[in-house]
Amino acid sequence: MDEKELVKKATKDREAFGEIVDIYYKEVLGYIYKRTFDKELSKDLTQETFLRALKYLDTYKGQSPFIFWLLRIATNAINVYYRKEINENRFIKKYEGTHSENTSILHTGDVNYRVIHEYIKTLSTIEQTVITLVFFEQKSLKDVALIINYSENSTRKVYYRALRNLKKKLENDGYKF
Amino acid sequence: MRRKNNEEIKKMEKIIEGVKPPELTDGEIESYKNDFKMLLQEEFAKITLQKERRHASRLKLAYGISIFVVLLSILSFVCIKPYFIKLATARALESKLGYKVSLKDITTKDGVGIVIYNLEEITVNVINENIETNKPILYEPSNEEKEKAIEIVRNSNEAKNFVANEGEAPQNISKNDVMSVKGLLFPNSGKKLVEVCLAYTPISYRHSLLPSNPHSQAPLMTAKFLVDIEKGEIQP
Repeated sequence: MDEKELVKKATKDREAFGEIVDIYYKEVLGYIYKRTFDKELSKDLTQETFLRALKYLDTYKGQSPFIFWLLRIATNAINVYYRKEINENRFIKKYEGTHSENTSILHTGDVNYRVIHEYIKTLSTIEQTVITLVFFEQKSLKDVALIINYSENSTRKVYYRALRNLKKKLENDGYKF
Repeated sequence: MRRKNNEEIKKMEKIIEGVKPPELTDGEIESYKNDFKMLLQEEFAKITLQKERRHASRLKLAYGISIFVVLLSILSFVCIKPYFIKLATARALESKLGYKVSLKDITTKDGVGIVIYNLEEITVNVINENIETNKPILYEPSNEEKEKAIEIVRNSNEAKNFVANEGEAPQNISKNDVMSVKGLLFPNSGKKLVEVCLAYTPISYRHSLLPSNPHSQAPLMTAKFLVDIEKGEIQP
């Protein structure tokens, strides 16, 4: 059974939807984990992504691979979560003081994922999405454009803007290029 | 400067590329997945039911909107059709008879335009542009119609500022005697007009009466007023 047929069947058949979960769960969870760097939150947001996908499965038109559609839903779920966090003013408190910590690590030249993730989190949600998909999910800009539903040109602009912003933030914290 | 920036962007790319992203272990992934599948057993039926309900309500909404649109189209057609008939009637009257008629004076009935012009009823069939002219039929108005028509005339500006001949000063004849009241029925439109005649004496005669001849009598004239009782006004 090809992907489209499976998706069509999954709108009414629990077993078929279970098969979809088997195929795509790991990739969706992995992406959300790289965006949030929080296991419990990733688990919750992955559940939300699949439940939302089930709810709107009949709107999937098959114009792009099904995983791209799932990653778009996941991206929305993450962004909605962060927006809520910001609204509830928890976000700022949670990440308060991370920059001074990062700076000391940067000076030693030891840039690990935890550090870079904290910097990525300071970017806009669309920039975070593009950077994560390109560098940690190894997606091409063309694929990212399909996932975020932007044109390839706009995606490229977001990508370079994100890199410039990231560079600026690192420089502000004393990193020498 | 630009080259330096590009180099720094390249360096930035290399820094991120050099970072190894975190991965969850297979055991964690399997455990999370199984938890979700357990949840799915309950949620699948719920979500499917919700979807069916949503689909049904959308269908109802679509039917509702379609019915509304059809009703709106019918209604707008019913409202617009008389306007086009009036327009075609006015054009036909202007081109064939040279009459200039205002749209508000035209009535429509069974797809034809009807206008009362110079005490004649002109019926225009807008499809074949056939024009038919009818004289009104005399009828005896009811007492109520008579009273109403006389009241309209007495209160009208036309009677209060009556000018018999061009160049004469206006005179108030609203309280003068009523000479006759006649009903005019137009056969096609079913429109009724009431003709009220008031007596008056021309101003020129009043001035020329000689005091030396007190028995000389001024001629008694009648002024005709056509009253549209439905509109409550005098027909111009």
